[in-house]
Amino acid sequence: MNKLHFLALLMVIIAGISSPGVQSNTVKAVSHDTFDAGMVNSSATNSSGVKVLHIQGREYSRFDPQMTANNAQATLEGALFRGLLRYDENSNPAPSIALEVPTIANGGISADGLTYIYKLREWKWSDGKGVVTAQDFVYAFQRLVDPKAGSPYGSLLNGIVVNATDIQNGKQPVSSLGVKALDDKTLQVTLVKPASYFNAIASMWITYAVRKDNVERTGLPKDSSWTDPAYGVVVGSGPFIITKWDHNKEIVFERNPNYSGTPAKLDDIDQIVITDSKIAYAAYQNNELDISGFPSDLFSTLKSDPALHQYKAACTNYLGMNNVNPPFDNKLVREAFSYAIDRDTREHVVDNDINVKQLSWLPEGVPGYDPSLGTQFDFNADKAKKALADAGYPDGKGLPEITFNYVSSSDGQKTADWYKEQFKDVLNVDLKLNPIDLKTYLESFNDPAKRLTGLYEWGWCADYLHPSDWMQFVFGTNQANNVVGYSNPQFDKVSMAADAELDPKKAADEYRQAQELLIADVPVVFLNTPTATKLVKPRVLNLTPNALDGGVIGGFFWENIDLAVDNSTSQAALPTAVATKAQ
Amino acid sequence: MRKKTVIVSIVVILFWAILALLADQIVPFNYHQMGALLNAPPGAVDPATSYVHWMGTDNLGRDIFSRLLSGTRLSLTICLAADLLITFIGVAVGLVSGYFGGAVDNLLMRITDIMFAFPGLVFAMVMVAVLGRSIEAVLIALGISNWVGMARLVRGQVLQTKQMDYVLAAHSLGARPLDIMIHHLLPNILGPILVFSTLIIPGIVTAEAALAFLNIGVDPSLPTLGGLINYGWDSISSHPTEIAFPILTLAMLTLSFTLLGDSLSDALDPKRR
Amino acid sequence: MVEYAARRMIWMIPVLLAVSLITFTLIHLVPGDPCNPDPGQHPIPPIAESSCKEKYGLDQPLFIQYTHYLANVLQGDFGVSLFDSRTVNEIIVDDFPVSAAFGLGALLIGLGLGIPLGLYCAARRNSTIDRLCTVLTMLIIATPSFVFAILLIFLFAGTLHLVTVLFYRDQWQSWLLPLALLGMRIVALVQRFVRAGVLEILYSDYIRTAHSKGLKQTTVYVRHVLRNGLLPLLTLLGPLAADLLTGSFIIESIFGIPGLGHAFVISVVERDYPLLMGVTLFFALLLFTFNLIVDLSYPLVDPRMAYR
Repeated sequence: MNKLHFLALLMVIIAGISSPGVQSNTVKAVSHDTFDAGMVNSSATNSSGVKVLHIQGREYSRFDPQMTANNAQATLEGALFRGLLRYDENSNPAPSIALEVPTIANGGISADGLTYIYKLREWKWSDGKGVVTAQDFVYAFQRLVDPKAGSPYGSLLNGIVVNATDIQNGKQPVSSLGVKALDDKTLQVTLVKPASYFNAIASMWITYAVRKDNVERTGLPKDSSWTDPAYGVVVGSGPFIITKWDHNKEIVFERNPNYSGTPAKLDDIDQIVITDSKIAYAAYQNNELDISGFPSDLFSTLKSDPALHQYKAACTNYLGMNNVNPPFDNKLVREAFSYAIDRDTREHVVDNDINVKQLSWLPEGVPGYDPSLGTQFDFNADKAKKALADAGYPDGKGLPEITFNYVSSSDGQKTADWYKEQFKDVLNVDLKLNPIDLKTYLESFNDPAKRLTGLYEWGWCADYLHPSDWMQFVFGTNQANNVVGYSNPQFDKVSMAADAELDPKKAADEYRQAQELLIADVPVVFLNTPTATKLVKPRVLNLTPNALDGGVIGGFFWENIDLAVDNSTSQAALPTAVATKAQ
Repeated sequence: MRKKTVIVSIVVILFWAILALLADQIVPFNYHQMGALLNAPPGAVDPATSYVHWMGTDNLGRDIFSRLLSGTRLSLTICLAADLLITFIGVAVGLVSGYFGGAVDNLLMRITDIMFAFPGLVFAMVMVAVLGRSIEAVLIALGISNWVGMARLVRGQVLQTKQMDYVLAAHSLGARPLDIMIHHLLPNILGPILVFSTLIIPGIVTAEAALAFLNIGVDPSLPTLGGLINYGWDSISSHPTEIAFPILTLAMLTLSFTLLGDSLSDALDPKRR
Repeated sequence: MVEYAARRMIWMIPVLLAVSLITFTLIHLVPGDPCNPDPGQHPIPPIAESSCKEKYGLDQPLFIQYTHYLANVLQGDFGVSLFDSRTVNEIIVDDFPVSAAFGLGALLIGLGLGIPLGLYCAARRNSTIDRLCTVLTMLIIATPSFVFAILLIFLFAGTLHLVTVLFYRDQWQSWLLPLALLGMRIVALVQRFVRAGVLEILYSDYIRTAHSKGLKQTTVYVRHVLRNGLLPLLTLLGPLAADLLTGSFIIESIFGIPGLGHAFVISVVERDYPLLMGVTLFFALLLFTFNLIVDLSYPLVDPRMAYR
């Protein structure tokens, strides 16, 4: 998925908020005496008994599930729409609009693992007009793979669902997709290989049901405007409906009165678009936000604050380099750069200790995670010098000029300055620093013609929690997501076999073998796994963070979130303890 | 009284200029050298070298004082160069436009209208895209997109001044247009020009900071006052001193430039002696 | 005067054309693909890319694109934003009033405080207050507004709890901080201009003459000094007003104010060509109008200047 949701951090200037936040021990004790409603901001109070959750938000271009490529946005869409399946608290697929999770045992999956049957329950659309049918899901899947629609996730089903690849390449009509409605309540998906992880894909936002007559209604400025309530009622199927979108200001989700699942406890989710973490933090302290980011330089101060929630995102960050061109086509050079990075210092100096050092490829949360893998490539100045000398560049001599590419921002600059000193110290290599604007930087990973030369920080985040999203899909020879140009036939063979393996135990073995092969080849220099951090007011109850929620804490279970009723009926002055805590 | 102000302003500016020029001799660090002390408060002593970081260190352990001196040096250079560029273009266009009037005026004013209405940000972005994040790109972007204010000011002043008797007299005596412009018009509008060009100095530094804020400023590896402020902005919550020093330096310099400009305009105005 | 105004307005057409042409050309020089709304994610298939380009006419040669754009603009249609779900017309209609309200407020504060301060400082040149004013205005001009913003927020919202940090349209208190931040910069600017302009006049011969004729200090001040001393300010006012009304990006982005300045920067970052063109042209039109008003008012203030 979105490689690098920590890049969202860099987008603070324009669109982004700093990312995430929560830890796993969910329910926080409520103490009424430490929270009081904001004195000046009546909209933050709940004197009328209306429960409004105010969270720091950012501006989005649309809330169209099939067109979404960003976890945070997808998590918000989870409030508006529902799909076949969803993740439970342990990130396992659980029923949503489908009655049950199909398995071979319950007959939902054919014995060859190629046919999936989803039986739908009675599930109302948010406008109360009609129920979600199998045809609606067919429509959603077809929108996803339709190349003209241009979904950034259109390629996810390639090589998995029948005809998906050909449709994406324009060789087959969308109607040929292996997703069919057998009747109003039965959906059948036909696969080209027994991808045992298909239920995980069916839990993703891209399968959320959308209603054709609402999506394609007339009077819209452009196709993607259908999720803007300014142009008519947006019909969804989730616990909330979007009722107000004051662009660049706030987005309001209200409880869906026609929701077919457990009704949401909150009345409104009010997302206030605020891009600067310092301002968001001030607003949080002033009780204008219930959930907010904070300036990362305050992390060490806030670490012990019970309001701080921190949890690992299912992502791995690395230092990338082109494996095809010299000097990084030489594995010894890549090794040397891996040995040369003092990751502990890097975490402290560059990331304010918010991220966690990691040398393996699979991050925590993805089955197959093993932190002991790759530790042999950790910082070791002597080994670094030796590897570089063995590669034919003793003391950096003879090495061509190496560029370090980074996003033009103060964070990016800090990182670049640190690497420059580090590689100079250890390898006697002078990096040429190349700051690039964010959009150009990101686009280089989409288009082989725009690829960066030299070094860059990049990463990968899970679309769904299964190693199939990490192996052949990312590092397979000539795969679109293989930005470094890594190629190892042995790895290809093992990882493809694993992807098509029906026996879970055998698959796990093969994935482990694939990961070991990958790490031994040092295709990239592994650095860390990012964590999501957010400040949450004690009055917010039942938050469940998830490694996939992109930092929209609790957003996987919007309907569970509640606010402690404020029994002091508001309007009193702020207790100084709250106001001055982190100053 | 006035003399004292001039002297103080000049002393402050010279002080910073000399400090900046001799930066490499004054401090044992350079602007990118990283020490062991991270985010040290002002006055912290490095136990290894017993060097006193009297402005503290930043989050990479770099000496803020060293960076400040390097930053001041670069900022002063950029600022003065951009200011000269802006003043030169603006005065030339304004003088010609105001003096000749008619079609020349119309044409030049329409060009200034275009330049004025044209978003400087887009221009800066294009310059950075073409030239990379460099001093030249910023200089050109600042120069090209800011001369219009000066031109309009000069033109307005010229329109007013050229009606004065002595200009009319010079004209009727057959003085050449260039002579009139340089010898009769320019000295009489020098005051506003000086005030304007000193007034835009802080504007230029702020513009440089704004470009840095939007990440289209000079090469970010080189410290400038704007860049240091932008960098310090990231740590303002935990280490406010990091941003305070460049801002105070900037304020001190701009204040001196303004006082100097004011006093100069007094001194240059024949009427005010 | 009517003829002059008409002539200027006719001139406006080629100016706007030139602005649009230059902007159009330059923004297309900046690398970046408007058909890639989520760069860095899974690559979009080439068909999607080309169908998007076709839909927005981006596959055409630049000149054709420009003429199409122009034809639409002449019909009052600035196109659809590529990032936002709204049309550019709607964005301007939504966002301009907010920016304009702040701009107008800041301008009023700036003139209301800046002119008297400037006059006072000029009259009492080199007094303690004058010096204090100079120091303060320089400090205000030299300090980036985001730094003042955080200081004011900590003081008035964080410590004193007098105002909110964030901006809410319907709460007048939340307008105060951004207004103050925008306003203090204008006060500083106006004060410097008025002071310089008035000083210039105070020392001119005719004022001395007026004094020597025995006219009262106040009469001299009101009749001659004010009118002539404010002329440089008038020149500044046109662009300043246009600039202010279209919003300050930094203030708007800090407080989460949905204004035009914010929209403009987003359009640059997202390579949202239609929005960028629309906002630029709108700004040019506004600027042109204000400059015209200023130029029209010159002769009213100073009869020696004729319309030409």
